[in-house]
Amino acid sequence: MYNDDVELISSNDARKTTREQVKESALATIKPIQNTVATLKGKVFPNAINNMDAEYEASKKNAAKAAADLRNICARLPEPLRAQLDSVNWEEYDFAHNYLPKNLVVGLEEITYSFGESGKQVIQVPKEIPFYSSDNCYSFAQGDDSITIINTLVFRLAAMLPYSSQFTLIDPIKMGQSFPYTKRLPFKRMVDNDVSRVLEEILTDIVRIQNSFLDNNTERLIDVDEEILGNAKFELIVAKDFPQAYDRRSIELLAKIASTGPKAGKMVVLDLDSDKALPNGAELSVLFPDLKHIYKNENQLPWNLGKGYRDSVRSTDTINAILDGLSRAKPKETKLGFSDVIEMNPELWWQEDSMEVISAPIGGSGSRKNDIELWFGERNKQPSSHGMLAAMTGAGKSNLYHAFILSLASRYSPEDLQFYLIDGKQGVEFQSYPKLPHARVVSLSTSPQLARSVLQELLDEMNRRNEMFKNLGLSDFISYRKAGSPNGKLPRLMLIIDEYQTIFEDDKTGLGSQLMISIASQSRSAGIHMFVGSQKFSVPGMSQPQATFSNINLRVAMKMSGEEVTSLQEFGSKGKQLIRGCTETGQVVVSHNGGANELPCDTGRVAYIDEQQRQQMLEQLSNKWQGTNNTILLDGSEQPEIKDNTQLQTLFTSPQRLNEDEWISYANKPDHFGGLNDNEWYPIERPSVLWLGKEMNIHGQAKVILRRRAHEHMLLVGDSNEARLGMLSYMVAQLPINAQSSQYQVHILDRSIKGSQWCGVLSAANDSVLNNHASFSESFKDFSTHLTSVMAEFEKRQHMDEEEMLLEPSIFLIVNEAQRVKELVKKDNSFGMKAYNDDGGVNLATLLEQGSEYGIHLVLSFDNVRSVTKAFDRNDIESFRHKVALQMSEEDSFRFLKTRDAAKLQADGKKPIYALHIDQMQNRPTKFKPYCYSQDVILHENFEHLSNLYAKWA
Amino acid sequence: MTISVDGNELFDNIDEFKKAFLPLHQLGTQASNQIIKNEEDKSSKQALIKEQVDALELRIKFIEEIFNSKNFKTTDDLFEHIDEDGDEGQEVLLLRRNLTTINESLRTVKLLQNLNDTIELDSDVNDELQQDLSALKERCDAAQEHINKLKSQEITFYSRYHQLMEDERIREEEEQKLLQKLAEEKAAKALRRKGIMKRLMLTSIFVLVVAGYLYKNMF
Repeated sequence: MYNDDVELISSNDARKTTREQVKESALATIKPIQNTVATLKGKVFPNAINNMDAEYEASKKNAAKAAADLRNICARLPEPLRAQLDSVNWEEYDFAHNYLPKNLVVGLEEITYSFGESGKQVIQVPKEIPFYSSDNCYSFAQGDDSITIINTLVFRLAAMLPYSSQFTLIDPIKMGQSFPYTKRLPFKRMVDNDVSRVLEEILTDIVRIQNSFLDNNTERLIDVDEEILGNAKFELIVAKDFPQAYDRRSIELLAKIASTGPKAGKMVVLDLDSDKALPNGAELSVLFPDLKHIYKNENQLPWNLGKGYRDSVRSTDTINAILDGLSRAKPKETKLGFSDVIEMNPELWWQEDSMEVISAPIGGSGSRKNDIELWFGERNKQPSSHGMLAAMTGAGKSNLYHAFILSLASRYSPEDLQFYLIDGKQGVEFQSYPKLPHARVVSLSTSPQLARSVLQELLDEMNRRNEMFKNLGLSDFISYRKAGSPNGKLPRLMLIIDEYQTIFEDDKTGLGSQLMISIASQSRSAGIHMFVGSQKFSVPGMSQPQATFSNINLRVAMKMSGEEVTSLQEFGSKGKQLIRGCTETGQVVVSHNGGANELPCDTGRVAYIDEQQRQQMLEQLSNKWQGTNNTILLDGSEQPEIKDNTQLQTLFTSPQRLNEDEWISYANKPDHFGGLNDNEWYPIERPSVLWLGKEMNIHGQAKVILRRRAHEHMLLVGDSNEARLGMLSYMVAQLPINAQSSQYQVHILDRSIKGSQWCGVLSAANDSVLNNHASFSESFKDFSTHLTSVMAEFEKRQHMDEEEMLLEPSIFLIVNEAQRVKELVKKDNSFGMKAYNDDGGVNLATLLEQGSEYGIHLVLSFDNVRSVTKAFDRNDIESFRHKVALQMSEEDSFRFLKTRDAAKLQADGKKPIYALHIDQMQNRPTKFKPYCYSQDVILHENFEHLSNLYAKWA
Repeated sequence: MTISVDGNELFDNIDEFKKAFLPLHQLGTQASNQIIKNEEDKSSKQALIKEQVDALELRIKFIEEIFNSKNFKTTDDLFEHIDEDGDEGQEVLLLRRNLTTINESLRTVKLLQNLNDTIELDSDVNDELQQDLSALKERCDAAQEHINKLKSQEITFYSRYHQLMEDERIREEEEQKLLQKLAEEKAAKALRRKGIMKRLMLTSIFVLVVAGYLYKNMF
């Protein structure tokens, strides 16, 4: 058909050609397809697989890292915060840290991460309920697992707060048998039949905590700074079998605790049988409006990342391990840093003015770290002149002193405030304070006599100030300062006495009590304050304590025993309640109104200042002070050194040897100004002052003044070689103070045993200081030559005109170890009378009787009274105006001094060495610590010091 | 104090732990998702390549089957492959379908050219693949061109054939129409004659009736 159509035939023919081309071109694609397939199979596929494998491996690595990170971060969750208590190895946990339970872990969420072929990672994260950060009270449905639930809560909290958790587990039906571990818990209230009583105790505790820690800025115990909180207890109160086993009173108390407790760190948990009705138709929702079910999701703080479970302590091993750990654990010491309390930048120190008040922040309470303050002076018309501190050993009393002193020292310049720091008999609390520019006096290991003398000194200062105010027509310290300090700026004086009972020891006359009453009642107007401390407020030996305490408004109490708190008279009931809460080192209760109940006491924690920080501050204070530091250091345990003699220092402030008028002026000057405080200084008598040591008061220096009067001799008796030799050698070394070498003669007989350590000390004084100006003999034979010449001089002077005689130089005859001078021993003569066999003895007796009027003074040293009596009879002994006694027997003391005082000198031990100076004219013994010879080095240092002083005058 | 995520120190509370944990949890979740995705990707991409290879190998097989078969004659005549309606016969349609498979190779080429977008390949491997694909594409384009041309020629042939058939049909229809027309005219003429006869008969009846009436009334 249509085979004749040209067009059809034509297209048919063309197609045939094209078909051939199609075949050729199609077949031509085979080769490149094969190539492509080969490339795909041989290269692309392996390469793609490789690359995908690499990516997959990278993903696996990422997954492994993520899994490891998750595990690691979970491992960094402290054991007490982990999801399951049973999964922790408590035997290795050290229970060294408190984790404040704002929230409490009660369960967990399990999160599963699928990592394909690499497997799965399951992570458990702890799930909490708001705890002490909320006002909630919690319950759970009573059932077979009630005890397990309670155990879980108890041991979770115990692990979180090893030292600060307390438990009250009320189990009225089984009488506590449900919780047999209770007694092993570190802090618990044992609940007996009287549940109400225990609950009332808890309510009392809530009130105490509110008063101690909480205020409008710090509403919850959990928000109190940990440094201030210390180891205050957070309590869990569990009521098992509630309400069926509880009477109405207990339920009401529980409800009250539930509503007020959370803020004070007391949380109630009820093991609740909701089917049981409360007695007398009481409504649970009314009594416990904030009751929440522990395990309801809406009451928890969920993560919403996985499935939730509750935590359950089912293993007794866990319970035992936690209990063992708690018993091993040592309470953590929490300390409030001193830098939180005071300004530490020295440039900002000394900005305060002491005109009306001096105040020292010493610690903090609640959320504030510097609101515990001690102040003295007048504030809002309320005076607070003096303070007292009582604290048992280990309560932090020493640290309080340091904080108080350094806080004041950082706020007031030495021109505004100065300290008298007195350590009690055994104390060395203030030993680092001599470098403090504010310290006027630092006394360590202070003897009672010295302590009283400090009070006397302050009383004298008070009288001097009051006299000055009166002369200026001013009433008191404040008005003097307001008037522009017309006679120079007066600092307030702060006397701090640690172990102040020292004042009243050996005080038969009641002087200490009297001084204290005087200072407490009168010194405020003179700007003098007192802060005394001891283990108790009332101390033994104190007479009329009420008269003293009535003027001491500031009461500071630290940790004390329960009995002591109960018997306290110095605080009212509210204050006592707070003091009972002071269970740790550093906790303090402060009242500026005599501890009365009317005004609340402050309570908190004293900032801790460590040794290094204290030294650094002292260094900085010392560097900041441009003036000289004239601190007087009195170390009761050490012998004095002559170079520390303030009277000597004052004397040598003069650039040249004093003339007669200057000597009079110097001698008349009171000892607190460095003078001799001697109004009978007549140059015509050629007085020679010789210091023997340090008196038992701040300024006094033990001394003898030898004048040209009858019996101006000196006798030293006692078995302490170091004291006798010390005094003698320094006396020799001091002779150039009084006159030029041409104006005195010295003859020394030293009978010290040759080869002993004492031999050569006197000759050293002659060599080093007198340049061998003295004649020095070791035997009486040699000495007698000089004695003979002195006798000749004596006879000559007897015949001289008095005024002419007075111009003659003074002669000092010094005999050491006189008991070894046989020639001085009197023996029975043919008439049965005691008489000297040797002329030398006769000569000495003659000089003793008459020599001093002619300027010839004897200074004799014996080791015991018996030897003295062999040389001199009673009348002769009375001829020594100056007698210095060292420790001796009562009998010797009485024989020598007519008192037994010398027998008690070393009552507290061999060191320090005390001596007694009896001036026959005044017949009043003065106790002092003599200069002693102990080491050559120190001796020569002091000799060199004296030589340098003399060189200045030369 | 916020504790570093990377540090070793212990957390002080769960809030700190939470702050540190949540970013890690997110990373963990991402890592989990990523590894699963990679596993899925790997198998799907392996399948993709295999599919392409299979497809290409199938093409070769097709081409060889088509062109190396004894059935594929370059001299065959389209007049042999016309069905009753004048359309392509089964042989032509089969051939066309087979040729279409060659076209599909082009789609494979395009897919393979974009393979690097979905599967990361090293550049040298990708370059080599692209070269192969380029050569393949060139050949495929040429084959495509010829196939299109062939199809075009076949279309031309069959369209001409259809046209001829259409002409034939139109002519036959016209003849038919003419015959029908003649028949209709003949029928119409007969019908008209019949109508006239009917009217005459009715008229005569009427006349008779009228005459009868009149006769009756007249008498």
